[in-house]
Amino acid sequence: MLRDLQYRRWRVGLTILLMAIVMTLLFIMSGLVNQFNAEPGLATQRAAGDQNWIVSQGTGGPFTSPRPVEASILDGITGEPILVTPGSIGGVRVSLVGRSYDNLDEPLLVAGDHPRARGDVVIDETGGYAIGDTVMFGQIQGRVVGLTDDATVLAGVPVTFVTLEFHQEIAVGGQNLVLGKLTGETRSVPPELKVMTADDVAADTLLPLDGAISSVTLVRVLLWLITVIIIAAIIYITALERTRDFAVLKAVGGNTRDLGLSLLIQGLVMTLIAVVFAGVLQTFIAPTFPLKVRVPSSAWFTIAGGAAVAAIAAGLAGVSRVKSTSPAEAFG
Amino acid sequence: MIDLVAIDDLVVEYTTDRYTVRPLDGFTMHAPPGQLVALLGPSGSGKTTLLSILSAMIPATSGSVHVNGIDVLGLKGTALEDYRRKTIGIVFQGFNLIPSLTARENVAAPLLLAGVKNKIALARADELLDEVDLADRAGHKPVQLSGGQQQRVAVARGLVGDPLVLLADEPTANLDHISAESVVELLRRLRERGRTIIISTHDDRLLPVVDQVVTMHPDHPSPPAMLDEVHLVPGEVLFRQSGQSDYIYQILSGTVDIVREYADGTSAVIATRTAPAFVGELGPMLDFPRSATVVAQRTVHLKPLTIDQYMATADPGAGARTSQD
Repeated sequence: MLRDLQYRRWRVGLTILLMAIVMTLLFIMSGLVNQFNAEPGLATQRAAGDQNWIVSQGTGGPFTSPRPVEASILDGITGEPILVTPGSIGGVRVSLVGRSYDNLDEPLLVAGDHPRARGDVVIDETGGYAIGDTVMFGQIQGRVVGLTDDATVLAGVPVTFVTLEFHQEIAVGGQNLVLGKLTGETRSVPPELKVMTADDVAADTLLPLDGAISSVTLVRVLLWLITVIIIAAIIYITALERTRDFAVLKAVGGNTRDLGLSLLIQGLVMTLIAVVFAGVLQTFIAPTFPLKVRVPSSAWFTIAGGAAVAAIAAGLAGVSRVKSTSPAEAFG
Repeated sequence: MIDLVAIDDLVVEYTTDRYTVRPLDGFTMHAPPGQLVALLGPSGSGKTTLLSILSAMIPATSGSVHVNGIDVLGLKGTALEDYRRKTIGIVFQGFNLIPSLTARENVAAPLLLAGVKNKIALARADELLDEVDLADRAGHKPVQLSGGQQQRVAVARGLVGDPLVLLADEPTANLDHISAESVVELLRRLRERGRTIIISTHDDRLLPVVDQVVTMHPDHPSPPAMLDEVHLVPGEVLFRQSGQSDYIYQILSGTVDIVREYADGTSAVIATRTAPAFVGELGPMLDFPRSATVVAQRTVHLKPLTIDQYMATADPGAGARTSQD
């Protein structure tokens, strides 16, 4: 079996490369879907941990349709004031989060410090900034003091953390407006307000991505189809090409079971090599994507398992070919 | 001496393209141990069919085939695999070596498939490659070997199970005379060790070196000229499909149908001939059996012609209406 693979090494190599490229795309698509699904939850965690958000009834979700209100409306509510608005840095869209960072752990930092003063900015590292960089919110200048990760929303929009006062200066002309308050407690609130759990916020943030997730999922299905067709075609064609070999080997005493098994194993080996190759290849290609590609470990099992099933199914078709090959065909 | 190979009244019939052909019809042959037997005949005369029967690869319609006392036509399962591994060796036309394997691995393949340990199988392969003077080519792939060398590797593979009978299909086909001579010399050497070797060939130059020649397609002498005309009434058969060809018929008056008979018992008129025309000319000229049945459609008068009479009568340049058979 291995001798046959060696003999056809160029064709086998190209086949494995072709399968690996398609499987690499499968890995990346799986990583994208996973990222789309994980992103809102992670960003919510970075912004406010597991706390509940008390917001006005007019707010659909903090990151999708924030509706700031006068801070005085929430005077009777115990909690940490927070303001979330869309914004831009140098024309690039960001999601601005303004609050106090004194008593909270969020956001987790990968470098630098939390915002403490006017102009201090913490931004997700996908924004491409370094600590000390100057950033412009329109005409207002800020300086990057810290970096965080996994703080993006709506498929890659970086979340940017500033103090509440600085946020109000940038976004609402210095008015004392807030989106709501963060609290660890669950309590009843006045009718004009509502409580959103961290899960509610994440679920709402995911809604605008439904179309994108469906599209990527469809592409993933198509890639699966292509993968299965490639595997099946290659293994079956190999069986057809080797019909004469099988006839000769049967004529000299080989049996269908052993010959079929060798064909089956050959297909499986090629497929699994392609899976490993694709797994390695995606680690080089994924970082070049503008969006974080978070390949779940389950993708390895899904892709390897699915490809193996396709290889076995195609191999069985090949085995039936071996079975139907008469040794008399060796006489040509 | 007891026959190592005994074939009696063998009939092989199969259906192709809806009609039935019978490449072997009542074939009988016996060969004692240590004999080099040549099956001589043109393409389609049943040589390869006979080798396939001896290899237990295709079924026979009737008759008996025994090799070393084994009823070949009744073999199944492991008995069949054992027979192919131990009793017979096969050398295929065109060598049929596995391209991905070296000469040594090709020779060892039947043993490896039988579960013999790698080391033992390869040692046996080396021994046989030495016997066919290819010890120095053991590590070469088929593509790196000449045609003659590939054929000798194929012979070595056929011998790996130390079979009593070696079957070789056109062993000298596609070889230059030097390679062909070395293969023939090898087969003669193997025969001297008590092995029966049956080769199929259409090359009658090999005949002086073999012990028995089996003509697969006996010559059919031309029939004598006939003076009498043939008169048929509607529905009467002139000759039948698969029958031995004898005369070519000139249709003097009337009309005949040319009918193809199919394996499922049905038949169809494939052409009609009306005087003046000929019918049934290709069969006698090619010495083929009749490929169709000819039936009188209306009362018909025909004149039987030998090939010479036909050639003298017919005017090929005139595009005379002729049938395929």
